[in-house]
Amino acid sequence: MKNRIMPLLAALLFAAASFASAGNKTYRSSLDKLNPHGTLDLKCVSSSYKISFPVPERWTVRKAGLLLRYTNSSNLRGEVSQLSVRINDVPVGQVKLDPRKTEGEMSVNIPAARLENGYNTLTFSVVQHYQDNCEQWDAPDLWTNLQFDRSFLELEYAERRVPAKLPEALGFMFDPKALPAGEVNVVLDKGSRESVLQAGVAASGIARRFDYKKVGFTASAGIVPGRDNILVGEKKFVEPLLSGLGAGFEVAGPMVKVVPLPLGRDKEGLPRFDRRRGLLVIAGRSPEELKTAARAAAEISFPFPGAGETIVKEVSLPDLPYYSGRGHIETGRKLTFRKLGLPPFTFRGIGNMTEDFSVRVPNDYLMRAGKYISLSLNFIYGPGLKEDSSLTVIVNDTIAQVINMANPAGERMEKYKLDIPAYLFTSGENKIRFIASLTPKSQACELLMVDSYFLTVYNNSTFTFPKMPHLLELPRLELFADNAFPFGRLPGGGDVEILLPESGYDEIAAMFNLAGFISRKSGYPLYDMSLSVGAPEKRDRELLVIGRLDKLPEELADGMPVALRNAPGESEVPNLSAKKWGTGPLFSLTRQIGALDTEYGMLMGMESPYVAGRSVLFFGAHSSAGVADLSRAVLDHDILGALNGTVAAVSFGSEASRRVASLDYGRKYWTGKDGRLSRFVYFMYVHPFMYYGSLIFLILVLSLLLYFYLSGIRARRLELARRRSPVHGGKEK
Amino acid sequence: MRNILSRIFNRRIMLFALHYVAACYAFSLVLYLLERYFNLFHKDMIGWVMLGLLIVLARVREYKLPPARMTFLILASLIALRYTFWRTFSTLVYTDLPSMIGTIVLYAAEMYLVGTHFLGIFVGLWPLERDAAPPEDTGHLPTVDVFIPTYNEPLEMVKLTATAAAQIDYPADKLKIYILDDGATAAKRQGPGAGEAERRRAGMSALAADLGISYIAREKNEHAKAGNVNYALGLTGGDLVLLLDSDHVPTRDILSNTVGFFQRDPRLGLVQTPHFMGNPSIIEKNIGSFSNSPRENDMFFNMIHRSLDLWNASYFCGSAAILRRSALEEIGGFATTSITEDVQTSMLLHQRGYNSVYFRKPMVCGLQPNTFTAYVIQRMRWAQGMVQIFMLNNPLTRKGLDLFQKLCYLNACYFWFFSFSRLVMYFGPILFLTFGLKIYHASSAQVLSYTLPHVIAIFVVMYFFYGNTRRLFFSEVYESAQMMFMAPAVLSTLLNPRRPVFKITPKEMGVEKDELNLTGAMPFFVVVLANAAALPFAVYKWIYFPAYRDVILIGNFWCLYNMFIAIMTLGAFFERRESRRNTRFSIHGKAALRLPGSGVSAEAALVDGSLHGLGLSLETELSGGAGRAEGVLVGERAEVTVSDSAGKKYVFSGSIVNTVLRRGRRLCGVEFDHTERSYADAVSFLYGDSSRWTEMLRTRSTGEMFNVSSDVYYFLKRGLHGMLVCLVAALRWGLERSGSLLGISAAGIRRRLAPGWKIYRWKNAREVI
Repeated sequence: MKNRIMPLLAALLFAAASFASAGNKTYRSSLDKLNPHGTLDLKCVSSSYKISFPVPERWTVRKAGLLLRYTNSSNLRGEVSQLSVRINDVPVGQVKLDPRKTEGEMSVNIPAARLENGYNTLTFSVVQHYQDNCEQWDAPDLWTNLQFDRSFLELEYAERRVPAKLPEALGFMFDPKALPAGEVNVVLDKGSRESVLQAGVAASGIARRFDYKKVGFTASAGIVPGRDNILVGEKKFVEPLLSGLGAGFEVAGPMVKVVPLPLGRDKEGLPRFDRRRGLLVIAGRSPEELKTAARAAAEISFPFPGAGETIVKEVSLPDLPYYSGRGHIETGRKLTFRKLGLPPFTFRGIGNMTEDFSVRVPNDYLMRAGKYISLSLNFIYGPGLKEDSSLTVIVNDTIAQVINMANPAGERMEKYKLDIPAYLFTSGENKIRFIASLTPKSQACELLMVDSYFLTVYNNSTFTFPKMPHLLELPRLELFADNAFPFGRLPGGGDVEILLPESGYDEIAAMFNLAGFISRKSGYPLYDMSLSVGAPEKRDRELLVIGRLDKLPEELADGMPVALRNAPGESEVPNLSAKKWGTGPLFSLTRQIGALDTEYGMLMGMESPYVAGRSVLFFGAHSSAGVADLSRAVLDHDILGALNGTVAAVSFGSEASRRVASLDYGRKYWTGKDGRLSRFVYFMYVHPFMYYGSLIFLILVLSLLLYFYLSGIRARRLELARRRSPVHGGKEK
Repeated sequence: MRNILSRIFNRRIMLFALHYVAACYAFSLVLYLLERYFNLFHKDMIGWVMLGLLIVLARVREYKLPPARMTFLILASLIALRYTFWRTFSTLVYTDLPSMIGTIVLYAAEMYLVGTHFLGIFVGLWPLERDAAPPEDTGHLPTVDVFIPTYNEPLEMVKLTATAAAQIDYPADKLKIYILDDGATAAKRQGPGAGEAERRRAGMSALAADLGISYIAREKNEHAKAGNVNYALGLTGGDLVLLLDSDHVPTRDILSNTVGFFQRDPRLGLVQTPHFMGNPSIIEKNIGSFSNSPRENDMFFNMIHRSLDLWNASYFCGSAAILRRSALEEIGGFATTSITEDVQTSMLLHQRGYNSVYFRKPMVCGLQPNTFTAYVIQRMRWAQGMVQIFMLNNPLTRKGLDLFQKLCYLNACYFWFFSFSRLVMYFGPILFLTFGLKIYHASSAQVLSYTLPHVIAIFVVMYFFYGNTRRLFFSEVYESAQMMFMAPAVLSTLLNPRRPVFKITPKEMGVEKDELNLTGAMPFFVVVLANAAALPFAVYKWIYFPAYRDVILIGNFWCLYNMFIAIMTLGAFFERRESRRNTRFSIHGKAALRLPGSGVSAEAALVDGSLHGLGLSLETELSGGAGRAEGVLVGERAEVTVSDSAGKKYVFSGSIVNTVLRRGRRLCGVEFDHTERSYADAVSFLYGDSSRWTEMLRTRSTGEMFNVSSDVYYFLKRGLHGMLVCLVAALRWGLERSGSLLGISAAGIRRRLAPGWKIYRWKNAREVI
């Protein structure tokens, strides 16, 4: 009997487990995808490292596991050396570091209850000793290498239903913690340019909600199941579409509404919904109302309204000046660390400890002149530190300044001023790292109160970037990759014009992807961008051309650095021939009969033929589908990192096969402040000898003017002495 | 409306506007681009290329003259403006309160210097050179009153001036001369020292009677010199007034060269002429540079005043000026609210629309104060007077002056604040090196790019303007020597502008023996020692604060420069013995020497001369004649015949008082036996000929003044000697003072310290000066 019951019980348990896991999904990621290090050494007596990973709002994690692979030093004393893992500061696993078996593997079951929706912290800590009593705390024997590239985090989760209330639903659907990336389909009428434009605004707003998380857009005339959808359009488009799907309602004004994703009707004619996916409806009775609704959909973040829909009467947007985009520092002003979003940071313990932050400098900020970025630090360090303890400031991986903490009694320093040469900074993102090297004054074997060694940098410390001019040589695709430059120069898209030579759904999807990219980089939706189809309309703008290679307007096509064809024909192709220091790369040109690979797209930059200093950036591919694929491919970090120079050919096939070939080929041009280029400034900067010449010329002109002016005065003065006055009997001349 | 439009669009305003716009454009171009677009290499290039160009142009003769002159000055302005812009917008950094205070004080001192520099460039744009203006219609010559105000000057001095005045070439019926004696007013004659005043009155009256001129003494000594002259104005009636200080001896042609200006311009209020100084200033004399250098005031009268003339801002300098009586009456006589009544009077004349003229020909010969005390009293009066004007009648707010006149007068007032900036410059590096105050936030690369070109450019501009009238570092020495006295005087005037009273420059004081002016020298010992003491701090900081090596280097050089100037200045405080009696001039010309005793005659060259005799150089030894040996015998009677530039012959009798054979030439001195007639002749010969002063001025103004290495060596040598002498003198003063307290005589101290004195004896000290 017993023999029969046991298999039955096992079968029941398996069935229950299978039932419980039915509908569950699994997410598995190697740890090197969740942090910048492939492997990492934990050194010294005690050390730890933290990895932060997200759990999306729509997930309910059922099970979580971690497989950690590591290698430890063979000089450790196994009895007293240990590796432990914590999740959100709660220990969930530990293992002795065995010197006899240096390759280790640690499998940890993470209690699902310990995981929260949002960001969770995984902490790896080691305590390492190489002898029992007296030992050197930083002995080189003390290390454990964590192999993140061979370690995995696995989450088993179920998906939750979309909240019924609009603000919560927006956060739920467009979640920056989405794994692995966001996917959104936009439903619209491609024939209505206003709808396409406002859908672009809405898409850019949604992309902003995804924050730094990559989001891919598709566009279609109908609902695409299996992903969140946005329906953008006027009443006449929206109402019939939804009625057809059995989710009809009246568009009574500028409306933003969220509903479960309608999937049409079943055989009985009843409407079907995917309640784990949502449909955001952005609609209005007129183009103006649609515009209002699109803006509201992009902006709503406060928990209002307490319902699934809202009618928006008006949207007032803040005025944003140039160079005020996301993370941009304000030049010419003293900025406290607090304003840069930094809390006070404390380094506690012994050894090297780091704290990083980044500031974004406008891409066209001219960093050449002999200027200094002023850093004024307020900090305190504790007693007992050896004289060689220091705080090192590193800018973009280059040591900029070192502060020696030489007072063994500890010290509080205020307004410790460091001048960092401006040339250490680059335009765009700049990484600033503080490394505290705290060395105890105590000898080895003395009792160390490790926590009493500390250095705290207060967040009322300041950074001052001097005012600098804006002048930059373009095209530089790497700047577009870095900061969507120059399209993000004015947040809000006030100087962005998107040109679609053809307005198919693929081109429109590509437009959403790129508008979303710009929005994520600048931190602000492109409310004021303009859209033209066929030929550009607003010409005094930065022009983003998205379309097939053979559909480019002629006046733009003529100016492109490389004229590649997507149909067999004759093309002139540049090839990197040699790299010469000083003058840049040298190219050979081949005139070939052929066509561009259908899995390759082109990114090319050039100066606007309409306004000096304005840019044209062309995204093109062999076909419309290729254009959409290209736009998704360029959102990939690896692709973005490889974009460079003037021209880039990007293969947009499967992720593994993606490649980029960049060339710095073609005519360069200059752009200045706000995208406008003063010819005068340009000449003065680019041709300094012109400056000398004009200076000499001006001095000469001034001298002559002054001479003529003074000659007049002099003549009058002397004339008075020559004239004969009648007063004393002289005769008038 | 038409008037308004024509005023707006007249040529002058349009030209000025054009110039202004172009200037602004050029300046903004420089400032904007240099600061914002160029890397350090290009900044260096700009700075040093402009400086190099400036140095080259300064040495090209053509660039002294317009229009090339304007090119030079605009270039100089650009360099200064470039520095000012950088200094203002890149180096004023707050670090801590004491440092910030130091930074602001240093910046203010620098900006004062920059302001002086710009005003100097503006004023010196185009110095005016005028021809003489002889009277044109002798039938309608204006009548002229010559006023010689005197207070306590010796009779001999007044006699010389009055005698020369009586010889002025002008119709006798049109010329009246007055001695205005404030030393014998009724109040003086009735107050303490009445006897002296009575004797003075008697002497002066007799002198006036002898010369046939008038004597005026008023009741009370109100408003000093200005009051004295105003009193005389009320009693006289000449169309023009020639004012002469009692030690300013006029030449015969002073009116014949200037009266024509008044005939031609009815709105002419005054004609100023230079003050040619017969003796060196006390600083020149003490440093020992007077033999081959221009006088201190040559710079002002040869260059600055000519420049002021272009802007119709030539002002009255207290003497050697001819003024129109009607203009003076219109402004209520000479101004009395400032102790520099002369400048204020001119300003009032200019405010009323009167013109002024500066005529460069030297036509008076005066004397400079011959003690440091007198020198300082004179300069303090000038400084306080100009500060009074700045505070009470600020030129910038005066109605009636045009913009250029305002700037010129501002320049005249503004200069006298130099003592503050000098003090700051002397102690600035000490504050940094010794006390760690961070007062100049710049890297050595920036200093190389901005500061150095600017500082050198200032010297180049000074050379350009004043190269013929002043040695390279002389201004530094002049201003340094005065600063310790000026600073409190100027400060007290700033705090209470009405407080200063007119202090007459002592004319009689002489230096009986070589002595150290310890009051003046002591602060410079402090400056030298303080700067020297800061140098070890520099070494210490160099080793232990490597991050600050840039500024330490700058501070170090600055300290060394300060020490250099202070050491040079110290030489100015060792006063050399001088007898006032014989003001002897180097003169040139031919003379005929006759020895009546032996009947021998010879041609001779004039070497020098004074009122009491002449120095002659004989080409050959005298021989022959009954009863006389070869050569010239001391005590032998002699008769010398000389002629002036106009060909007028003078015969002076006297005796040989010394003779010496030098380089094959017989030099001998003849002392005159004066009668009233021969005295007048001697005055006429020596002082009456303006060509003599012109030639002397030309001779001492043509030397090459700008040679950095030789000047540095020259001044350093003199300065070090001066400092050693001062140290020895100070030591001696201290020992004698302590000796007297202990009851030991100075001779006793010298005897006991004889071995030490041999190393650097007092006598040696005197010789090296």
